[in-house]
Amino acid sequence: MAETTPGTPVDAAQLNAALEGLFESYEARVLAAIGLFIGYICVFFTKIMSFTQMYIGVLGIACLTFLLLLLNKEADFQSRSWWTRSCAVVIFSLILTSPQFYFAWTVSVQEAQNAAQAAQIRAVNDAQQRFVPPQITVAHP
Amino acid sequence: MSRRFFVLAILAVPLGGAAAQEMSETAQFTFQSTDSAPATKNQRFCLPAGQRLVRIDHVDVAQSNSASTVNITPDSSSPNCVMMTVQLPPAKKICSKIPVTTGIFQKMEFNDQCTTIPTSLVYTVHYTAAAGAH
Repeated sequence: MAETTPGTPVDAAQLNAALEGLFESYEARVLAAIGLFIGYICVFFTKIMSFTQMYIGVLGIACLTFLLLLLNKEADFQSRSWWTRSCAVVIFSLILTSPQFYFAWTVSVQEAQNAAQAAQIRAVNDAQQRFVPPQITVAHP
Repeated sequence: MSRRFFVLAILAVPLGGAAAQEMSETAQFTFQSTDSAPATKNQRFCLPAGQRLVRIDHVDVAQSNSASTVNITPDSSSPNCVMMTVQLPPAKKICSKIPVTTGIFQKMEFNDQCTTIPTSLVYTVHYTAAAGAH
């Protein structure tokens, strides 16, 4: 690829090639997959696994991204650049998924709060409306 | 003679009935306790002036959310009064764990949310009173 200096017009073909190269990289596919399946991931963590702690979800997404990166046949664990790229992809994936993940998590916590408060109200109402007959003794005059 | 006797008899029946007239009355009582220990409450109930308590017919319980004890005894010092001793069990405390988020990482914790339910007892005493002082 030819070197360009600031101010010189960029060749459109070169720009397209660079972008294609970026989007066709394995890491971009991992990010796309994570972005595509974040809805399922959120449902799995918050509804099926009932995780209400946010850091568990963050760790889960990071681990899942890393797992997908490990599936690359060209992964080179000896290479420092591979580790750097992987860390960057994990951070990007967390940023990419944060809006949906945060929404899913807050909804999950809110639902847990509502359920607990509804249970509390039910228990209070039951206790208030329960009828326990008193023991009454009348000594007639 | 027989006609005079008949008139007297007609007059005597209502007059005699009025002298021993009995009436059914009711009085409602409400007791409540928010204490965490059993509470004993005493209440003296006196009939209005000019009435005399004949008997307590029955007691209707309108509300009772705990096993209370009620003792209704005649007041020896005053014949138109009764003493009521009510023993109320401690108020119930219902607690639930409510999730809340805290800290920079929005860590979820469970806080105890408690509601105290006061012990309450409402009953109506049906009694028969007679007019005239004892």
